[in-house]
Amino acid sequence: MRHLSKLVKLWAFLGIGITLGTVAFIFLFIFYEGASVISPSFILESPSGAILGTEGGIFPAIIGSLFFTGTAVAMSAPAAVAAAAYITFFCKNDRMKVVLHSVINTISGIPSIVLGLFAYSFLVKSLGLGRCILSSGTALAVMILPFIEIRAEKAFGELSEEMIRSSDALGCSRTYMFLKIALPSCKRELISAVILGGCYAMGATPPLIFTGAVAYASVPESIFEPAMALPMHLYLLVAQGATSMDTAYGTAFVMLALILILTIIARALGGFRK
Amino acid sequence: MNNALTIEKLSVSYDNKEALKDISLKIPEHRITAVIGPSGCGKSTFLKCLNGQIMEENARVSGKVTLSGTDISKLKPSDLRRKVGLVFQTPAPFPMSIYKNMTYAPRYYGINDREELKRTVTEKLKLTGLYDEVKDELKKSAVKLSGGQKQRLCIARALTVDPEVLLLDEPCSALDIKSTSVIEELLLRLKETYTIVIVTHNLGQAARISDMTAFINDGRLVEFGETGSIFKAPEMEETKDFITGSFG
Repeated sequence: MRHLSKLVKLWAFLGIGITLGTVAFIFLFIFYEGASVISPSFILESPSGAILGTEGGIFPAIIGSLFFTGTAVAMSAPAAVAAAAYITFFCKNDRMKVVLHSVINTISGIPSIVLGLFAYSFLVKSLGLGRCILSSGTALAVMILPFIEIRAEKAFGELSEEMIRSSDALGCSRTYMFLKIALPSCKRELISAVILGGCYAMGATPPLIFTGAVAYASVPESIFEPAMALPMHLYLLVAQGATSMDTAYGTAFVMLALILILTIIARALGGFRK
Repeated sequence: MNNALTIEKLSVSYDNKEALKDISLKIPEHRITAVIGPSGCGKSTFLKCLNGQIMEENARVSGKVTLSGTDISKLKPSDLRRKVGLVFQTPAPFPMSIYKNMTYAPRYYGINDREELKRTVTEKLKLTGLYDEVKDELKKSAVKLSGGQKQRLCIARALTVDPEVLLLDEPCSALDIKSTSVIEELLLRLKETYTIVIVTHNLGQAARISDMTAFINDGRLVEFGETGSIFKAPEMEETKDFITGSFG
C-alpha cells in the first residue's frame, strides 16, 4: 500500500510537471521565436508585401479578433448566465435539469468546424447575412455558451442554500433574490467566466473560416462586414510556408499575449472572493 | 387564550413514506411552543407545513392549517411567508451590509421611504438587542458579525416584514452557550409581540423557554401540553422515555 501511495504521488507530480512544462515550453517557444518581429509598426500597421503578411503588421487582425470575440461574448454571455440561473434557482423539475445539462454538454461536444458549417449554411446563405463578423460571432457564441454556462452554474451553486431559503422564507421572489443576492455575489466569477470564454473564442479558427474571417480587410467599422482575425491570419501565414514564418510567430506572440493578459485578469477577478 | 395556528389532521408523505401522521394541535398566541422529538421524527417537516414551504417539495400533504382563522392554503405563498417568518439552524446573513440585510424584504414589498426603512431597521434591531452593538457600523458586512450576532440579525431580518408567527428551526444548535442564552432571552422578550414555534433538540432549552411543548415521534404527535406538565408529569410512557433519555 505504501508503494502504491508513493507511485500515485509520483504520478500526480509527473502529471503536474508535464502539464506546466508543456504550457511553459509553448509560451516560451512562441515568445522567443516571435519576439524578433514585435515592434510598434507590427502592432499598429496593416499587413503588406508581395506575399501578403510577409511585411507590415497585423493591426486589422487584432481589431478584427476583438470584434469577433466581443460579438460572441455579447451574444453568448447573457444566454449562458440566464441558463445557469434558470437551472440553479428556478427549475424545480429534476428531469428538466438533467435534460438541460445533457443539451449543454452536447453543445460543448459539437466540433467547432461543424458550428462554422452551420453558420455558413444558415446565417451566411439562408438568412443572407453574408460573410461578416455577426455570422462568425454567432458560431463562436454557440461554441462558448456551454463554457460560460458551466462556470456560471458553478458560481451560483456555491451560494449557500440556507441564504437562498432565507430569502424564500421572507416571501421574496427568486427573481428578486437573483438580482439582489446571486448576481452581486457572483459578479467576479461571472466576469471571469465571460473573459475566459472570450479567450476561448479569440483562439478559435474553424467557426470563422467560412463565415466572416478573410485574408485581408481594413479595420472593421461594423459587425456586418467581414474582417481579419488573428487565428485565421496565423493559419494563412503558416500555409504560405517559410517566407512568412517570422510574422506567423509574431502573430502567435500577440495572440498568446492577449490571451495571457485576459486570463490573468479573469483569474485575478475570480480569485478575489476566495 | 386565542390560537394563532390551528393544525387539523395534518399528514405529509414523501414517495409514499409518511413523514407526518394525522397531527392536530392548536398553537396559542403570544406563547413559545417547543417542538421536540428525536432526529428524523418530522419536526422540521412540521415547520415547513406552517409556512407553506412544504408545497414546494415533492410531498403529498393532507389536512388543514389555519392562521388566525384563515386556511393557509388559500393564501398566496408570499403573503403566507410575510405572516409566518422562518429562521434556520445555520445563521445565513446575506452577503451585504447589516442595513441592507434589514431592508432587503421591506424594499421587496415596496417600502422605499428612507425614514420608514431607517425606523424599521432601528426598531427590529432594538427588539433583538443588536442595535447597541451595531448602531455605528450598519454599513459593515453582515457576514463579519459573530455567530450569535448573525443569528440575531437573521431573527431581526425575519421580523422586518412584521410576521404574526415566528418559526425557528433549531436556531441555537450552531451557537455557543453564551450566544444561546442571549437568543433564549430574546425569544422570551419577543413572545410578547409574536407567536413563536421553536424546533429544538435541546430539551433543557425547551424546558427553559417554552410555554407549550409538542412531542413528535415517528411522525406522530405523541403528546402536546403545557411545558411544565410535559416535563414533570408526562401522560405518555413514550414521552417519559424520551425526556429521561431512554431514546432519541
